[in-house]
Amino acid sequence: MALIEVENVAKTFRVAKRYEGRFGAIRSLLAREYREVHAVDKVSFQLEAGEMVGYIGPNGAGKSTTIKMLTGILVPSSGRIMVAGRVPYQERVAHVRKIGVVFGQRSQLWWDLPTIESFELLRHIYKIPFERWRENLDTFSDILELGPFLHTPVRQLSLGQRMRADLAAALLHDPNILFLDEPTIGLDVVAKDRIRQFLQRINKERGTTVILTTHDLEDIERLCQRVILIDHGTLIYDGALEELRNRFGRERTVVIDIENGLPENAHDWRPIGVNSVRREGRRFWFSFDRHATTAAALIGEIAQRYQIRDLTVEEPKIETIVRQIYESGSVTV
Amino acid sequence: MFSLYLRLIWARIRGQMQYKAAFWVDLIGFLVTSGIDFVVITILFTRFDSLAGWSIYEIGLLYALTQISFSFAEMIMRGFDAPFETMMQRGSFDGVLIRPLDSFFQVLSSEFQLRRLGRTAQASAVLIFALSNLAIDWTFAKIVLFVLTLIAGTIIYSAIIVIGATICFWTIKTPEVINAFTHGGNQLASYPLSIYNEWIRRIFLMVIPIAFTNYPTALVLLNRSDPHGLAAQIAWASPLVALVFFGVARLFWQYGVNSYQSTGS
Repeated sequence: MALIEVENVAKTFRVAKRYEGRFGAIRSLLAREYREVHAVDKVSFQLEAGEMVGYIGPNGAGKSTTIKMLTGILVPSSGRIMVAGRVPYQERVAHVRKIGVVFGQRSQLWWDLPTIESFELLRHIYKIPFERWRENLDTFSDILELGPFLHTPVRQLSLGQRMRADLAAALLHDPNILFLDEPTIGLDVVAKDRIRQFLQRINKERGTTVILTTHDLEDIERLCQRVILIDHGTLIYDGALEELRNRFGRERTVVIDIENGLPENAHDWRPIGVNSVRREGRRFWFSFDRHATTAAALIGEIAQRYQIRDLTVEEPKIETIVRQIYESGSVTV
Repeated sequence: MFSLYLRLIWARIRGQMQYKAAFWVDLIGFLVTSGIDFVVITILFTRFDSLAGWSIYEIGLLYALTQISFSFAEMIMRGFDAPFETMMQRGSFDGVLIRPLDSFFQVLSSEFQLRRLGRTAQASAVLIFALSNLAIDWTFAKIVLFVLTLIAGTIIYSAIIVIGATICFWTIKTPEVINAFTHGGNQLASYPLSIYNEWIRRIFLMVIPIAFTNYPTALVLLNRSDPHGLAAQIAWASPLVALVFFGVARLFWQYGVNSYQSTGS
């Protein structure tokens, strides 16, 4: 049995229609017309223990709704969710004891108190044995460098510090699964990097299963072997990141620097299989379809016309691929 | 569980104490503003000697009983008051559902408004003023009844606050009508129940039992009888009434939480 089983899960919200105007509020109360919003529609997937999965999709795709159902915050409208043999919302308390949750936009810490006091309170809330708690806190303080602000009230922390504190707080009780909703949102490059390294270590050393939603695809590239793509509430891709690249990222680019002396018709020439050519001074970008030609054939052809000084082959950026999928709304790019 | 409650409340109080000036300003503010209520009543008594046969001191006893209970309820149940509304509006109730504790317990222990002691202090002053001018023949039973009534009153007002908070699960905002029962209710209860018409008396005895915060107990303490034939001894039922009412509020809360989980924020 997989650690997390999601089977045909749907979540439909009934949203009351609002009326504008002077008596709009009263009309909204009396008329009670609803429209249905299918936030998640028949989504199925399974996760094994120890996996690190990126759950991605454009805004409003249903990512957060799925996470909320997995954490037991919301009850699915239909379908079945099992996490570690439990139905999350039915055995909420037993379920949340075994999971950690971080909302990037909302701290779970005690705002007015020094950071260390939140950790203390969590020790009592989760009934963590003191020794184990101490050990975890030392480890996390060490990796995340919490030391300098342990005695600073949470409201005075920078966004990066707050995020690190929230991450530590979510892991003090040794959860099997860590849910992260936008863990790197608004952070600078250094802070993002620190958090990614930390997540990697936790996953590797403790075998913690990690599910994260993000808009930063670098998070996914750096962390996740597997990616689940959701749009308009439906699952449109589930598999390895490499596979996503191979299947949908057909376009690669050969970048060439040439020696002096350009032929006359340099602007018009376009080898077979090349979709577009861009030029800046002595540098050319030839974007080509992998299925129409190969990099080797293309380079050979170019070499016959120009004197090549330097060349590189660029893989498609995962960000470009995903953007294409979002824009077209399907996987058949 | 109780030690965890104390720990969480203590954390909240320390949090509030980070803003010491605001704390004292509020405490004194509550003392002054709630004091105005009773000033209004005393002004009324400069025109009349009694109200439905009740003297200013007897009214003072009614006022103090219901006000002290209300101040305790506001202090203890603060988590279900305005902060809960904010919690709903910001969607941070999600944070409650990811902790391995009962949601009611968590909201209860999320706030404690010590500054409401301003109201308690003011009401206590009125109580001293009333009792020192009344000749009550205190017996052990009367002392027990007095204490039980304060506890029952606190529970009754607490239940109303919980009901108001629960409505937020559907409306996001606590409707003003709840204030009519908390603040309005305790204003109404500052006067003898007998002055109101029948349906108001019924509502405050049987539906939202605010009358049990003071009226029957005052009848017993003052050896009075109700002109509409309400048996004074019903005062002893106050704790039971309070617990039943609170039980209903607690069930309603659970229904609200379940509804939140299936509709989402």
